[in-house]
Amino acid sequence: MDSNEKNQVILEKILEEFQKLNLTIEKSILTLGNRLIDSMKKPYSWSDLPSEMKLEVIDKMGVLDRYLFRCTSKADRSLVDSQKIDIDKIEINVTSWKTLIWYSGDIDSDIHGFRRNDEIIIPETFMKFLLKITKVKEFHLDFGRMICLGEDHPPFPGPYKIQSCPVDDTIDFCLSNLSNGCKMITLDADNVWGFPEVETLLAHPSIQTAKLWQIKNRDGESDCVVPVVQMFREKHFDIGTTFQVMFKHGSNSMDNVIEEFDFYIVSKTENVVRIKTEDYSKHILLERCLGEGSDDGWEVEPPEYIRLQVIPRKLKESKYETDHTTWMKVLCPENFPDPYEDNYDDYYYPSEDSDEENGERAHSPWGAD
Amino acid sequence: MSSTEQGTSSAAPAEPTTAPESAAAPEVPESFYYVHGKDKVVHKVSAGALQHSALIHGMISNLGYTEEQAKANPFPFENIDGDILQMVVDWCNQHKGKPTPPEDTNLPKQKEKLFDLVLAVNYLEIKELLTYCCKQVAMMVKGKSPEEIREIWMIPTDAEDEAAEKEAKKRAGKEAAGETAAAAGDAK
Repeated sequence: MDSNEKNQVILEKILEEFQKLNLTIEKSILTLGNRLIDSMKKPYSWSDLPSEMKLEVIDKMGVLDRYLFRCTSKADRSLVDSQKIDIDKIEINVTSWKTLIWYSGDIDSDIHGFRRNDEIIIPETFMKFLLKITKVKEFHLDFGRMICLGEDHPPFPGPYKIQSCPVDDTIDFCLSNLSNGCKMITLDADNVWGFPEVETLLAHPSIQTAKLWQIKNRDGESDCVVPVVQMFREKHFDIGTTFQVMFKHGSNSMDNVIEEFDFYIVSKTENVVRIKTEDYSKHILLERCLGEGSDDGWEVEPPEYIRLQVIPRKLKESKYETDHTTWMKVLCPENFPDPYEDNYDDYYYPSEDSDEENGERAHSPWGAD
Repeated sequence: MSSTEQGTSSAAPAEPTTAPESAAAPEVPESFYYVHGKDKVVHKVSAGALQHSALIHGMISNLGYTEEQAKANPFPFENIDGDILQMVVDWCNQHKGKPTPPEDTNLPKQKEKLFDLVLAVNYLEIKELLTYCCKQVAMMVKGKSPEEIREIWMIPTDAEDEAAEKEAKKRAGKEAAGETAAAAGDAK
C-alpha cells in the first residue's frame, strides 16, 4: 500500500468518525429540543383524557356532581348521560310549598329540597336527570306528607328551572322519565285531588315493566282494579308481577271484577278470586283484606287492601299465602306499627341463601320466575 | 445516565408451606427490573412491585430476561414524564405484595399532575391505582358549581368549543385549497 492509499484510508476513517460525531450532535440537539418542548407543555387537562377514562371518573361521581358537571359543556353531556347509576330508592314528596327529593344508593345518598310559595313545583331538569340517569329499585311518590327540611340544609347549588305543575302532570312527568324494570313503584294518592285514572298510569312503560306497583290511600269512587286485571289477562306478564292498592274507605272493586270477568273465573271465595289469562300457563290471583276501621267515632268504611298477582296455572290453592300482613305492610307500612322490626326487603328480594334455608323462595309459593 | 434505586432489597414473602421448618426451601432472591421515563432516569423496581402493572408484567413474562439483561435493557416509557413515573414506582413499591386498601392516602396531592398520572397509569394498566386516581379526579369537583368545575378542569365553554371548531374548519379548508392549487400547478 503506497502512501497515497494510506492517506486515503485515514481520510475515510476521519470522515466516518466525523459523520458519527455529527450524527450524535444532531441527536443531542433533537433530544434537547424535545425536552425543551416537553418542559414548555402545559400539564394535561380533562380534555386530554380519552372517553373511557372520562367515564371511569364520572363513574366515581355522585348524582348531584354529575348533574352539575353535565352543565359545563355540550361535549361531556352525552358522556354523563350514557353512564347509569344504581340507586336503591328514590322518594319524591311534593307539597304545596316545596318538593323534596331523597335518594339513596351505594355510591350516593342525598336529599334536596326546592321551595316555592303557593305553587306545586318541580325542579324539572334535576328530577328528569335523576330519573333518567338512575336504575332504581324502588320509586315512591307522594303528595302533601310533610318532611321537615332543616333551615341549615345547604341550598341546591345548580341551575334548575322551577315550573308550576298540577298533580297529574307531576305523576306523568315522573313515570315517563323513570327507567324501566323497577322492582317497586309506589304512588300515594293521599291529599290528592284529581289523581289520574289507572288507564293513564298503565300506558307508561315504567309501570308496565315494574315487578310490583302499588297505589295507596286511593278513594273508592273510580275502580282501578278492573283495568289492571284486564291488562294482566291480555298481555303476557312474568309470573310474580304484582299490583296492590289500598282504598282508604273500601270499594266495590271485588264485585266489579267478579261481574266483569265472570266467564274467566276459575274459583272464588269471599276474599280470593282466581282468573284465567290469555296465556294458558298463567292465572291471576286477586286477594282482598279489610283493615281496621277508625275508632274516632265516625262511621266510615275500613280501609280495603287488594293484591293482584300473576301466578302459574299449576299453583295449588293449598299454597296460597295465609298471612297477608306482610304485603299489606309493604303497601302501607304506616298502618302497621311494628312491635318488632321486619324488613320487607327480605320478602320481595330474598337473599340467595334464603332459598337454601327454607327449601323454597321465602314468601313466594311458586318459586323463582 | 443516572440511576436511582427505588426497589427494596427485601426478599419476596416466602410461600406458605406444609413441610417442617428444617426442611424449608431456601428463599429465592427477588429479581429486579429497570424502567425509565422521558427523563431517562432509570428506576430499579422489584418484580413483586411491578406485578401491579399488567403491561410490564406481560412484558416481563414474554421476554424472560435475566437480571443482567434487565439491567442492560431498561423498559423505556418515553411517553411518561420522569416525575410521574417516579410517583408510579413509589406507589408500586408501597403496595408490593399487600392487599390494596379501599382508600389510599398515599396518592399524590398535586392536582396539576393528576391527569398526567391518570394517563400514565392507564397506559401502564395499573387497575387499582387507576381507580384511586379517577376517584381523586372526581373529588376535585365535588360540590362545585359548573363554572368552578370548568375552571378546575380547564373545560372550554360551548362558545369556545364552537369557535375552535370553526377555526379548525377554516384552516382545513385553506390547506385543501392550497393543495389543489399546488396539484394544478404540477399538472401544468
